[in-house]
Amino acid sequence: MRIRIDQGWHIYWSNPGEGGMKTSFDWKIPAGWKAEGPALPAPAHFLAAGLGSFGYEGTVLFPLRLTPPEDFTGTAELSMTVCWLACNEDACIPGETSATLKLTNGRPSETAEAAAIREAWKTTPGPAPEGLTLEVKQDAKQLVCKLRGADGVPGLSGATAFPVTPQVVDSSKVMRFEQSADGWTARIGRSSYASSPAASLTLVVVPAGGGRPFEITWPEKSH
Amino acid sequence: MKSLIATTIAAVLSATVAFAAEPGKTAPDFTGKTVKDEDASLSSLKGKVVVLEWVNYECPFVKKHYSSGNIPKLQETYTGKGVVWITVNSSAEGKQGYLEPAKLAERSAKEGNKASHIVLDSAGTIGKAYGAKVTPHLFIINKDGVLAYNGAIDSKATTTAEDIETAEKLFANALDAVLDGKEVANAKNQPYGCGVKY
Repeated sequence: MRIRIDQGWHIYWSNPGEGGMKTSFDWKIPAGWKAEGPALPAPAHFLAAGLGSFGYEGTVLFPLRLTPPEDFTGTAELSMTVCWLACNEDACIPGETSATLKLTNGRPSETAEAAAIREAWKTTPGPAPEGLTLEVKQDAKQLVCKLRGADGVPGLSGATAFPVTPQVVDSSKVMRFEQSADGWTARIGRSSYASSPAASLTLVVVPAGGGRPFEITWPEKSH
Repeated sequence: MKSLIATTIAAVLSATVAFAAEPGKTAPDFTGKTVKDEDASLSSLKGKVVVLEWVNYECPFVKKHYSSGNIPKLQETYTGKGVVWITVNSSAEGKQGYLEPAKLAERSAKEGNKASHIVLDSAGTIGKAYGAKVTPHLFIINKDGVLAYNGAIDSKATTTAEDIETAEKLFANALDAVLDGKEVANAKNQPYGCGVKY
């Protein structure tokens, strides 16, 4: 799903921050089909009148993956409705659109958009690099987040991070990791809506220098 | 350059007032003018339960709650129980949502607003004292002048009126607790809406 946003406006990420409304996708697919996504690219940060938010401006591609049932023949129709809120400095306007895809059996072949779609996947978070862990320590005022255990992961110095978990960290600033004695550290104020210490925090980390973003959770998920 | 300065000032102001309106603390006093050009102040409302509701009739989240009749119904219900409900418009002149007093009164009537008072706060003084961030943003002050609630109207952060019925009624539940003399379970939560246009 490609969304072109008029200049000066933005739409919102899954955690919109303060104000705004997350962009939502609603699928209608036939029985037996699987739909993965749409996946959300790592967001940008916006600050308006002291309120920080996370979202997208310009053109954004949300890639998704559809898997037909093994015995699929004939034609299938899949449709998706997208709901968003577009805001600029002055106003917010909700919007919605639906798109339909007709798919038939055939030989695999790439469309003209294939390259753009492959690039779009690279803007969405992948899994955390092997061996990398996130540790979070918190006090009344701030959270100290530490990445450990991946000497070979490029771009962690100066990497920015965005909170998937809402209402834990202050959204008016962007988290940035810097190298420290035992890893890479980012400090961020607590959200003024956090009523108690956070039990968990998931971040999308965007390495400096253009590597693929990844998602990492504290505490580490057990397998 | 101009927008950079404006953003920095707004951010500093925001930081200063961040904890101004914490549930459990004395609610900040305020004075203002209603659309009828009468004085409104918190100190004159001692002994009353007061609701402050931030409004911007152009904001789709506010439209959701007015076009559905949700907020007007809450206003009617609770003013009927002796609550003083004050709708506050902190949009700065020239910014979205701003209406000069006569027009604000007219538009409020058209939207079915049944608040006790509608206060024009175009200088943003009351909004900043309370840390009103979005519209709608709801505050409840108990009879002792202590802030009892600072948060959202309900739990579904959407612009769709159909979601009101199934949303958790965060604000109404809090107001019921205050009127019953009970502890408010969820006294502070993140309100959803469009940023207040200070």
